[in-house]
Amino acid sequence: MSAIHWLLQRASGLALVILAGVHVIVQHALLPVVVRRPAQLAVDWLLLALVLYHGLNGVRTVAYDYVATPAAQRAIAAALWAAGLALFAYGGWGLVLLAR
Amino acid sequence: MTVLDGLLYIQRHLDRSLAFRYNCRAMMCGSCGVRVNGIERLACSTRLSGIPHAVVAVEPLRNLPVVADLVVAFDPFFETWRAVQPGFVPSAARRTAAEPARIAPDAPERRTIDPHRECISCGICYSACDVVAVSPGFLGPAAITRAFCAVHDSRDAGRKARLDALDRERGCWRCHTHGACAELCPKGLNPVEAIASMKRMLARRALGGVVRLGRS
Amino acid sequence: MYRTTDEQRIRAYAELWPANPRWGVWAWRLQRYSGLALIAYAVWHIVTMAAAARQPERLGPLLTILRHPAVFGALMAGLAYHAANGIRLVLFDAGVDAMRRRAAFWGFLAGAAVIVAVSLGRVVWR
Repeated sequence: MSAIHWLLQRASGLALVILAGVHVIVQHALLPVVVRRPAQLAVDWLLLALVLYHGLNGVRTVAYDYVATPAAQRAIAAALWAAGLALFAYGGWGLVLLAR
Repeated sequence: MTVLDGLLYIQRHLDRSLAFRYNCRAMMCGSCGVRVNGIERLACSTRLSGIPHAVVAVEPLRNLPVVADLVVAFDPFFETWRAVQPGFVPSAARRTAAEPARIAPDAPERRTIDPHRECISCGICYSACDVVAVSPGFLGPAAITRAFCAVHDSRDAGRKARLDALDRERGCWRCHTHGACAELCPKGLNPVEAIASMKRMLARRALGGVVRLGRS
Repeated sequence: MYRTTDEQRIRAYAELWPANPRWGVWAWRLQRYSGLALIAYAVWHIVTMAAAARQPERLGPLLTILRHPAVFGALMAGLAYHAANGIRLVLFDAGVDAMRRRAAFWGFLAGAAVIVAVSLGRVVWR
């Protein structure tokens, strides 16, 4: 499993270089009015998922540097997954609302 | 005049109790690893004239328990070697073969292994690695490089055990590519690159061995 | 031959004092600090934006905070460094070994970081 996380961290990082850049540019080009077309919704959901995965996986890596026992590692991973899924649900629903 | 010459002078004329290790004086045995002004070096081949500071401070290697003065115990270091099964494990074909294995000097596996092969187990990379300091149990650059060489050896049959040893969280995955090991290795080896190669191999294995990931 | 003789190597090793043997550690530390700052910012961004979706009047003040030069500048600097160093790491992990030819690599990445930061900054302030 560590190998998969290592690989996905790099893959999501590369995807984010592009998606985050596009996000910043598009958001600022469209200000002051925040327009949300439904087509943007899919891209924003992807961005949300990737940011949460990449960021929280990074937090997991930091934690694993200092925490060695498998039980504690599992607990931390479970907590991060829970936080990530909760944030994805909350943020994703917010995106749906903004798109209307 | 080298740092080792300086230590010998101190021992002979100033402090007979000074304890330090040395042997070959030619960067071959790996006995005289120390920290010179905070940087890991071999004492026998560090010229005093090459050090850009007025005062030269010599300390024992990091990450290993100090026995006396500059002498450290290498037990934790060799524990990491034991964990990757460093000894050659002959394959069934090798055990029953009538003749020795023939591997040409320009064979692909030689080209892969040779840049990482000449480890003298001096402990400099292990001392220089911040991950070893922060995450106890991390295998460290030397042991993983040894595993790299063994895994690429076509005569060896211990591949699975070594890959499993590396695939634990504190196996090779704690390496964060600092590169201090490659920067300070007195034999010019590149452990950080060997570790990256092992990560690629483990990723390929996790994906079912189908995907090619950059260079192997 | 692709290897020097032992005598050449001993001579080179004895002469060379490492200029900055821990540059890789600093690069990694900055990567970690910027990463932690970015995930903290991202979580704040997600939560406040989602809350603003329910109460649209909150949106304006939030966007004003984000457009503040100090905030946006720090964000872009952190993002640009993290992305540029990240690309260097992905290339290294993929087998492009440049840990020892670091001058070229850092130059390339510094340039990339500057381009990213400047172009994004221009988008905001035209």
